[in-house]
Amino acid sequence: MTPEELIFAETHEWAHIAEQDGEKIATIGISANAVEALTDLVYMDLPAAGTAVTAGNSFGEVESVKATSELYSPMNGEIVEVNTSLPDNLEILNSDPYGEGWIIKVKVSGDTPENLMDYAAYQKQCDEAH
Amino acid sequence: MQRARLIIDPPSTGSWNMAVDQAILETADLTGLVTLRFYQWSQPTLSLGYFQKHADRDLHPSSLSCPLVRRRTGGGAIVHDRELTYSLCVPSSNRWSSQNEELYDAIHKIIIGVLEEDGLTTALYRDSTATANLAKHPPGLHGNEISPSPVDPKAFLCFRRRSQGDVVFNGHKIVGSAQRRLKNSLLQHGSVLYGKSSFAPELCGINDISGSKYTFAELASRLLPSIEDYLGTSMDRQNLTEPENIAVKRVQISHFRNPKWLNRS
Repeated sequence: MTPEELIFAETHEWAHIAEQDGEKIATIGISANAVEALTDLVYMDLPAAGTAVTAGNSFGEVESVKATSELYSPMNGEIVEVNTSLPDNLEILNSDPYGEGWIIKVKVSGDTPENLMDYAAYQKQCDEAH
Repeated sequence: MQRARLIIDPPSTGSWNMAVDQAILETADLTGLVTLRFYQWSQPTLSLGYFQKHADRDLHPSSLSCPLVRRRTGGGAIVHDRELTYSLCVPSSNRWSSQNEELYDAIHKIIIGVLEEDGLTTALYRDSTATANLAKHPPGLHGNEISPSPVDPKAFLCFRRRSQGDVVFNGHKIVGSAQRRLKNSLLQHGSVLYGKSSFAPELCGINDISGSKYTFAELASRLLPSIEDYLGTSMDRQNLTEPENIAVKRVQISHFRNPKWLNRS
C-alpha cells in the first residue's frame, strides 16, 4: 500500500479500511515518520486477537533503544488478526511500514472517527512538529 | 513562561519512586506543569526494564538480594544505589514534549557540562573513537586506572550496554536515561552513577574513576540551575498535589507492587 491510500491518526498510526465478508476490516500500523522518530526498535508488545480496542486508547507498546511508546488504535472494534511475526522482525517496520509492517487488523464497529487525516494532512502535521 | 516545579523526595521504595514518575506523567496535561524530580532509594533496588524477563535477574547474582521493581521505561536493569536519579516530565503544552531526542541529549549535555566545570572530561557516546569513550584518562585527570567491564548490547545491566547519547567517562557509562512517551506528554528519567555499588561491583561511578566525592545533594544542586537555564524557566520546590498522591497509590497497586507486573516473563 502507498501512504496516499491510508488514513492517519494524530498519534502516527495508519489505517486502511476494506470490506471483507460484509464487515469493515481496518488494517492498522504505524507511519514511517513514527518509525524514524522511534529510532532503533527493540521490542513490541501486542494484544491477542479477540481483544476489544477503542479509538484513541492504547492497544500495545513499542520499545526503542531510548523510549517506550504506546500504540493507539485509530478505530473502535475488535482485533481479528495480529501480525505475530512482527515483534521478532521489527526491521520490517523500517523497510515496509505500510505493507508487511502492519500490526493488527480490526473488525470496525461504528463510523470511522472524524479526526483521522489523509496523508497530506498528516504530513503537514509532521512537518509542523519540526 | 512555562510553569515548572522541582520535587526532591526523601529516599523511597522502588514501587513508590516508579509510581510517582508515572503519576506525574499521567497528570501532566492536567497540571500543565514541567516537573523535575531528583530522588533516591531507601535501599539498593534493582529495576528491570519494561520488556525484561523477571527470570533474567538470575543472570546477575550480585543483586539477587535487592528488592525489585519494574520500570515503565525500557532498557536494561539498573541497580539503584549510589546514584542520583532524576526524572523530567513535560506536558503536551511544552515544546520539549515533541522534541524528545533533543531533550534526551540536552539533559546529558548538562551533566557533561557540570562535570567539565570540575575538570572531568565526559562525552556523549557516539562512536568508539571519542576521547571519553576510551578507557584511558585524559592528561591532568587524577584518578584510578579502572578498566570498564566489557560492553555488551544485550547485557542484563543497562550500564553495560551502550547506545547513542549515553554519557561515558573513560569508557565507563556513567549516565543512562530512558523516555516514556504518551500521546503528547513525555517522561524522561535516568541515573547518574556517582559511586560503585556492592550489588553491581562490575560498574564504576564518577567518584571511582576520578577520585571525586560527588553526593546526591551536590549533583542535584549543581544540575538544577543548568536545567532551569536550558528550559528557560525557574523551578519552585513543591510537593505532589493531592490528585497526584492518589494517582501514585493507584499505580502502585495496579503496577509497581503488582506481582503480575513484576514477574512478567
